[in-house]
Amino acid sequence: MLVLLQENCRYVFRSKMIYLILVFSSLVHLAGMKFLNHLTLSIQGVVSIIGPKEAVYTALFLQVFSSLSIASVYGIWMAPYAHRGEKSILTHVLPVPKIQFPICYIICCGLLLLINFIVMIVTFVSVFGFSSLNPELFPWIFILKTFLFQWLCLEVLMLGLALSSLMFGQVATFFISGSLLFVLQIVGTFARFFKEAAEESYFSAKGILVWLYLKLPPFGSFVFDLKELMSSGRIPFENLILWVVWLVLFSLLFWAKVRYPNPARSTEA
Amino acid sequence: MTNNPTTCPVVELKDITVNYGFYRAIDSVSFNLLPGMALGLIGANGAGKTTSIRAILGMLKIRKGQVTLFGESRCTSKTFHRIGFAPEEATPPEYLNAREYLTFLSKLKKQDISEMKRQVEDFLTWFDLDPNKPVRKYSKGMRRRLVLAQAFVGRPELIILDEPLNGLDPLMIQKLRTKLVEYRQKGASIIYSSHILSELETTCSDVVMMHKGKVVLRESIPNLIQKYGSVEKAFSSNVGGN
Repeated sequence: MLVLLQENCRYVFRSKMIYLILVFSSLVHLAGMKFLNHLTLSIQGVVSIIGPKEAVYTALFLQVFSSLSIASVYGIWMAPYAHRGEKSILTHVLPVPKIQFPICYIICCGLLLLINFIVMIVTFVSVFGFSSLNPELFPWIFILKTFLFQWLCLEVLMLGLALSSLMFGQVATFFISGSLLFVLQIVGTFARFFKEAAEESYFSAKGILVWLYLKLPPFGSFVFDLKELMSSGRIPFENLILWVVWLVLFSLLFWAKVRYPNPARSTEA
Repeated sequence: MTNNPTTCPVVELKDITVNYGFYRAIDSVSFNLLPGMALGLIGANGAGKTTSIRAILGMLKIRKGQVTLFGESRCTSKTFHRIGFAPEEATPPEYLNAREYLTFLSKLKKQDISEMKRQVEDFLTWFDLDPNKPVRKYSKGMRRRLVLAQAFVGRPELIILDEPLNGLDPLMIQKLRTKLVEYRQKGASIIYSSHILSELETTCSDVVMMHKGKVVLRESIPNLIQKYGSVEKAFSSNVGGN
């Protein structure tokens, strides 16, 4: 497992794409932090100056976008790399249990997300100084909670994209994920309308639609859950369970997929 | 590498049938490989040689029949510690160089560190590989040599080579032939798929001839030469052609 992880990390760090994302991430954070530093807001006559404490929350939201990019790139390109085309045969005969592959990718993607968090903190320090890391000013526990929650959600996304990339190819995954997002938005809107009907009977067509929608990974409430975490320090328990269930499910599906290599698939990228 | 004292087959295929969609790739194929034996799989393109190898390695779903490897019915990660495989077409990870790739495999096969380093350097020299050049900059021939080299990492008990001569220069073909003979003498078993019939006479002890997904002949090389004169003549008699 350790050898596999070491090798995967080597691949990630030799790939230029990750450096691009990290540079992009630090630039976004730096621009955001610089803009917020000493920003004066006047709302209905009340003047407030944005300091480090308020800036942390903004930094966390900015950080979601770069983490999302990392999980997507890792899921579409990096995780399936060894299991695609002609490489898949050599990977298949490696003397490691196949279940170690999804576990290794989860850990490796987690490390990248951690690096992104560190980039955020370093950028924050470069703008607001070391004194801003004082536990009284800097919400360390909250940052840790946010990291863990993001890690869980983005691992589900990463494995979902990796599976799609293995089954349909990298380019198709872009279109599939885009279309899926669009379809889910529509289904979500309908589901909201159908909720009352569904509460009366889950055996009606509307009821089944709502039930199915509610069992999908709750990507729609990801940002709202983050906001909830920021305001109350909690996340809806049912959403947390759903994320965990989908993480296990995608890991098992990935494992099932890599059990039989598919050398026929073209070696895109 | 250890010598197997029993005569229990290293590989046994019993009545294997594999379909690709509606196309039947191999149909009721049965053969076995005993310890120390070098089995040549021969046949025209599409005869089912590669499919048989993939069935042995658990790479595809078998419709009917059973494959036994080292007495076990499932090809697990432990089984792969004992097998070296060089596919016909394969690319090692392009971001690594030959030394890194062979070291990675040695580590997975849990070799002793000093033994691992020595073996990796031996393979690099023997297969004439540039140790520091990334695989993406390798020529087709060099990639082929690296794929062959990785099959020998960890001194496996069973080596499976699918069309190993494709893309190799004559010097390397000679070297590989010698290596395989030496390897077999040390007790390893070999499955060697090829459509170069003369090659099998020098490298293999037994031959399985396949045609249109079926085994048409299974014979030891001395018996085959006694009956037909040469592997080529045996192929013409059983499969057709001049």
